[in-house]
Amino acid sequence: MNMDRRKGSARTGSGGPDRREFREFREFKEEGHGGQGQSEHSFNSNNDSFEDSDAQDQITRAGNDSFEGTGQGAQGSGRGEGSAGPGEERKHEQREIVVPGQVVAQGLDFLPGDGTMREGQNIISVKFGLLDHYGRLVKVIPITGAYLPKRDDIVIGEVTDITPVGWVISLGVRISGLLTLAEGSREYIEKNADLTRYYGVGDLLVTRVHAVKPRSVDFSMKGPGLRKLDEGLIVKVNPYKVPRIIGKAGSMVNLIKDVANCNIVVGQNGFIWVKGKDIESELLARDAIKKVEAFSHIPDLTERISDFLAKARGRE
Amino acid sequence: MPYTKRFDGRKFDETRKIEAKVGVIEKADGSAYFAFGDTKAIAAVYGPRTLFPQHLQNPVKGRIRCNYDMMSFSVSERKRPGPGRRGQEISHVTEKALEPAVKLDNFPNCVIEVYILILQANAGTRTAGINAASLALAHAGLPMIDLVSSVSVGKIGGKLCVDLIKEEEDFKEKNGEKSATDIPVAFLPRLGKVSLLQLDGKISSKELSEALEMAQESCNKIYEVQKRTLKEAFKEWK
Repeated sequence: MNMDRRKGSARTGSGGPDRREFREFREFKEEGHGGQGQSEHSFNSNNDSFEDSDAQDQITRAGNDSFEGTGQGAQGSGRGEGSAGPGEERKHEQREIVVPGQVVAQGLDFLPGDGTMREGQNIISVKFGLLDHYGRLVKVIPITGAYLPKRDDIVIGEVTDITPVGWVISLGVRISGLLTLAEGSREYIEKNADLTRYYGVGDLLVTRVHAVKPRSVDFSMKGPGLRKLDEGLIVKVNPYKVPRIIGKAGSMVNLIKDVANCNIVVGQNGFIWVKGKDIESELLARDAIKKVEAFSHIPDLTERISDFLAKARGRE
Repeated sequence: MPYTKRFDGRKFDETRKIEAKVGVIEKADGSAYFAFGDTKAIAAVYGPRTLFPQHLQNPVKGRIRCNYDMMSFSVSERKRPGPGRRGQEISHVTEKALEPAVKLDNFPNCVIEVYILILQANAGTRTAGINAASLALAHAGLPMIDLVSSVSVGKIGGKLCVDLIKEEEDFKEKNGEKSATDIPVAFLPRLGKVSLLQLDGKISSKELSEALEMAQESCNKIYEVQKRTLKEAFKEWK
């Protein structure tokens, strides 16, 4: 299993191992639920007790579900079924912050998930992050670190150069990538065409990671919601906080959008584009996003952010 | 001359005041600050990323590349910036000290870069640097089986001390003979394993094992500080 894990995370850099974990987990969950859960979403909605964990789930399956979060965000549909209603609100215990080497579970009844490993009778954490229990599965969700591009991630990148074969795009991390002519537009790009007609240096693009190579990344602009961003505000956050900013099924980002009256696109690399009808609403959205980033480990964050936004709105 | 009272009035098994912080460098993937009194180190971690040139790559294991340097103003006589004989050695031993803690087999063909800068030096810079780097590696979200805690021990005028300062390192007998032994040690505290052991001076094997026990005890205290630093890196809601 460890061998597979390594292959999954290092070679392809895809969400392979996480998938496997979910399957494992679903298997023993399904025993109690009469075999529901064709997809992760239906699974989640059947287990309200994990409601607050779901935002964090997206950390591990960010690679697969990234577009769902951002896409929903971009189109502004109000799919907020995830947030608990005011009547049945649950107080969640704050999840423990664990450090590498800490014993997080004892005994063979538990299974080591992502961010943990078995050592004799104990399961120890190998990462600095939040401890999470899913039935018998124990895992640690990292809360800090660098963005590693994964295939099919929706990211926001800046055009830093134009070459004869395409546009060089920077994600704000060390690795930069290329948006080739073939993937650059849905239109046919003529030979010797003026590439600045499409995207110029300094333009910000909502783009998709098409392929991850050892030295660079390839991007694509073919897909729904992928476009050049014209005006607005860019907020940069730690990429590990992105799932929290999106929230369960987009609950957090939809809340911010509704209250601050802004259009928001969240890139998996931690770049967030905010466009409101005036600068005040953009700044409010920015403050809320920064708040989510700083307090992503706090339980019941959606409610707290809702209060924060309501207060800020009231003051204006 | 017997060494009965330490220059700064500490107990013989007491470290200087420890200060630690994580997330001090915004652009780094992980960063930390660690200070033993006047010895202040700052560490930044970048990566993992693919290692180039390609012939250095190892297809089964990643690599840690460490870069230790002292700021030119960190010592009273200006230190010429850049790598030197001493800096290269310390970079190398720091790499070796950190390697067993990080699960490098998760990152084939990759390199994790660790930059350690000494802001102010009063002996024990490599140990402060290792402590800072270990925190920075954890802060960078890298998989680790343990943190690394490090401290120096020594024999000054026949007396074993923990966390030496510069005056103690340069301690001289009445006849002008240098009689200080300096032993930087790094532990994986949970596993109780030694990952760095250097020795400068003379010491009997019996005293060495005593000194190592003292070092382990201090490292356990440092480990607690490191754990607390990481756990308290996140603020309460306000």
